Amino acid sequence: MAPLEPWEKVLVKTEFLTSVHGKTSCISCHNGKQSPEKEIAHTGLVRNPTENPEKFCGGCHQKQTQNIKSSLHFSLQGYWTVLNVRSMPENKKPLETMFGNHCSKCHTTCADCHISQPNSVEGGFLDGHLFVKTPPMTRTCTGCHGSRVGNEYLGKNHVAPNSDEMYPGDVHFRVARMNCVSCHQGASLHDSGGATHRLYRPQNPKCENCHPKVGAAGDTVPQHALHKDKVSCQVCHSITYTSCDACHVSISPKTNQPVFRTEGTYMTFLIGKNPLKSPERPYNYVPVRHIPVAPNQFEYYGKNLLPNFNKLPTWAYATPHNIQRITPQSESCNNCHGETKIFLTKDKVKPEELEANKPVIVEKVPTKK
Amino acid sequence: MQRLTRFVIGVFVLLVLASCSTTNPSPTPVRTIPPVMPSWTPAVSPTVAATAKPSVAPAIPTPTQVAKDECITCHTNKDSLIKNAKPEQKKEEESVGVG
Repeated sequence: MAPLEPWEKVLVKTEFLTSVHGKTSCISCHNGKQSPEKEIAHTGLVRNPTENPEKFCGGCHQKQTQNIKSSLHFSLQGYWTVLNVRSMPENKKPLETMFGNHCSKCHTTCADCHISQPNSVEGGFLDGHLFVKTPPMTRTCTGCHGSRVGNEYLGKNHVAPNSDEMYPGDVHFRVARMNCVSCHQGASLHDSGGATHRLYRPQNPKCENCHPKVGAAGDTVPQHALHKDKVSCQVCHSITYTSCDACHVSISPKTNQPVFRTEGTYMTFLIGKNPLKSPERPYNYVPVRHIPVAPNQFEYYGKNLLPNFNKLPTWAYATPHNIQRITPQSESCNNCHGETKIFLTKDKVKPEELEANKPVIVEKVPTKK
Repeated sequence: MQRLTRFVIGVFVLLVLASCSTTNPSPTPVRTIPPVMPSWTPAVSPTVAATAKPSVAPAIPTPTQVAKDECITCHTNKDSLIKNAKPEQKKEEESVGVG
């Protein structure tokens, strides 16, 4: 996605002026002053009124905004949920500073999906300040969820670093041309149902919502019934996906801007034990991906800020977005059974992360059939 | 004769009253044509009264009438935006790896 020119980011289309949202004056939402001088006109300017969704959007869109502030996109609570487990209350202040510098730009308001591109891709109107009902996938969703989910879904991952060969995109995109909101519907994005992490809530969406016959009576694929509730759908139907190693963050001494350095990005397909077993997620096995965490990744902001680092796995429950009908796992029983290389066994985990990954390491690979 | 006198007095009174009702013409003022104010009327007027009150009283932005909206004048004009844009400093990418 090419960045927009500075003028292009704020050029209002004349069509906006006759649209429903264009009937009010600019300053009734954005403050500022009437003046031909830019500096005066921008006095007290509110760049993004939808930071206050109840006030500016709730009048007409009450349903969409009533729980928006506690939604994970708005609150970014998911980050704090895991940070709080790995850290301790005494470290909250330096972590808040870190978070403000490096993570908070993922905070998503109504405007970040419906008017502009998100901050993480430098913003700019999607369509001349017209309000876009369905956010365009590649300019909003994958603007933030790009390097893992976006690349998997759209088939942008190379098979090898210098190869032109790509892993195929998700069948739901390649064949069905579905976009993100086909599954992740607005209601679930506007309201997280009080969840404090995306995985700490009932699965939403669920594959079964569209594929109700899988594993049910009359299903012609016996493996579905055999494996149902034992493995998540992605274990058999996803392919190689991205893992990342530690993301170290700091402030550049040269430019005084927040910067990051990831230790590595590589392609993996590994099945681990399910660390979040529940009636909603009863599986014994799920795909796991290495997430960009390390005990010392925030050391720029203080020493030992994650003293409880081992309380959560670094190989995390994954839901790769590169679903295929036919995969190596689905082709033969023994492509998984007895196939040690696709399971997260101890030898694949860094020694310093063994403790953290106890809940997901597979001690005994299912035997050959 | 008396009738004639009454008639003359009547005409005189009428003339006096008529002269009082007109004002002396003042110098023609420079009049500005009142600007055409944008009027905002909802496209569809609600037919059913809302019963549930929102928990947070929303402040629905009200149309503000201005003769000339300077915001719109500038923000619908590409040249004006280019002229007023702060020169962008080329950012040196210091981060390493996939974000």
